[in-house]
Amino acid sequence: MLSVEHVTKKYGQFTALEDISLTFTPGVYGLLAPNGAGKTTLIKMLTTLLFPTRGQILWEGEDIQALGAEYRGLLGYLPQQFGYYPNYTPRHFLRYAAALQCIPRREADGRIDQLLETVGLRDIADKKMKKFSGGMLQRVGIAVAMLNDPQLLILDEPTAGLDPRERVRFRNLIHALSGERIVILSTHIVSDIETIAGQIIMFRDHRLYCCDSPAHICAQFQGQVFQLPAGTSLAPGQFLLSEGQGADGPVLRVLCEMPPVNGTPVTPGLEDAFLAIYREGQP
Amino acid sequence: MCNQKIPMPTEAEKQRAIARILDVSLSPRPSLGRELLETLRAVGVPVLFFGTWDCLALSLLIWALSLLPALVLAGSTGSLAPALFLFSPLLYAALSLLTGWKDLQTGLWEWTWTFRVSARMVAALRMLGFGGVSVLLCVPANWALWLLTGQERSFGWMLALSLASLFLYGALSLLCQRLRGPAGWLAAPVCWVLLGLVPLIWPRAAEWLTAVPTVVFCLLAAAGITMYLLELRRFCRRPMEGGVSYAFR
Repeated sequence: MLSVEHVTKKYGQFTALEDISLTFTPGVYGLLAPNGAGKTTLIKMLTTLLFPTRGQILWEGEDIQALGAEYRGLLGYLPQQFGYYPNYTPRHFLRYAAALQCIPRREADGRIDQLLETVGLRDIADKKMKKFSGGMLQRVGIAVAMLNDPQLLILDEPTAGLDPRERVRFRNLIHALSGERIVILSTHIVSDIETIAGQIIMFRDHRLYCCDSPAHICAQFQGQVFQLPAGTSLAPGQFLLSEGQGADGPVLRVLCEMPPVNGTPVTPGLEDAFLAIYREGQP
Repeated sequence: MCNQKIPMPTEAEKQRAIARILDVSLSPRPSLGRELLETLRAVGVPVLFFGTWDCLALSLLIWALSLLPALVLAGSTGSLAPALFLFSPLLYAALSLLTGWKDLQTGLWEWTWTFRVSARMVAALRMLGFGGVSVLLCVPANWALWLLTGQERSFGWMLALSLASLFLYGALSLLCQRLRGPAGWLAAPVCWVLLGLVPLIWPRAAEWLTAVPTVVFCLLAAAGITMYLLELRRFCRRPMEGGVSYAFR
């Protein structure tokens, strides 16, 4: 179990995160917040790359900084920008990472073959990575993160820059690999985690806003989301969430407490909830 | 029911008891040398220098090509001392800067901090490797310069000056690692170039440097290597945020 206890992180005078408390048990967690909300700061603290200014992070009751190598040995991490040496092959690169994780060579070779198969890179395992697409590199990254069969897998915006097909493939891969481990996935793309995350963590004003299931988060806005024909003028108290295509043409999705004239109630999705929570000018 | 009072220990007695318990239960931390050796055994030399062979080749090329300007400088100033002082740490500086820059550019620097093997131990072992290569190449380079400049000063004096310069630069570069962000990498070479320019543009400083006896350079080399090792221990042991560059972007 991983617990974050009253953690605050400041960069000089700027407070990136304030008094965050969370408990992670095996399952997939989605860190969903707009850019600059503090997702990467939390991830960097969970991966021991940054230290909390106040509070502590515990793994099975022990401070992760004090655990040091023991904690890092059970951690798999894919950073926002996966670093690699372009002139090396995925197999060579995975062997390098395995050595840094202290995995014996014979055991590592078997694990590398298995992971390359899982991420669909077996056929190009011995080709230089300089010709790889963004999606292929991310798959090398996830293979590196999974090398030590981590109990804690942390992925920082893993689908950024991927085309829709690669994003779906990546989501399926994460779902398949989640198993009995804690997976923390940071993103600002709602569809990335809507289907695979059991719990969604949201920050607002650098504080924890919620840690709840997608269904519960959406339920907060039940009966408050309506579809209106495009071109309808919005009355005070009505907030435009998004525009889209309905069965009868373009429509507006609107958040309001009272049903609007000509409004059709719709079931709020996680994207509606996200837009409602992070709407500008919100009191 | 027993009303007898249980004698409670004083604060000093409590602290002594806690200290005794901690002494018995906590095993002493192994020395830095042992930790470095264990890291080297765990990863091996090829992993230690993985991805840095191009930096090594480029640094060696830069270093070899620098022998020519060193000779020209020695000829123009009429003394070997300023050129030796300025150029002796060049290979070490080039290796450290190029590998550091490459790891930062590829995004690997931060990522390697999340592995079981300590990234700082790997960095320290690399520094020692670069230092070893620099010392080894210092000898033939000084020998070549000694022959090419007509053996005007003793070979021992030249070698002592070179090693003093190299070790002092090494200590300075580690000291500068205490600074955050790019300043930590760039401060040492900038300081060294500025310091090295003094005897080049001010003849009296060059004369003074030339007059320093061998034994003084030997003492400076010893002081430099001691400072280097102490600073290396601090670099490996002090709490340091590997992701600190994120905060400064």
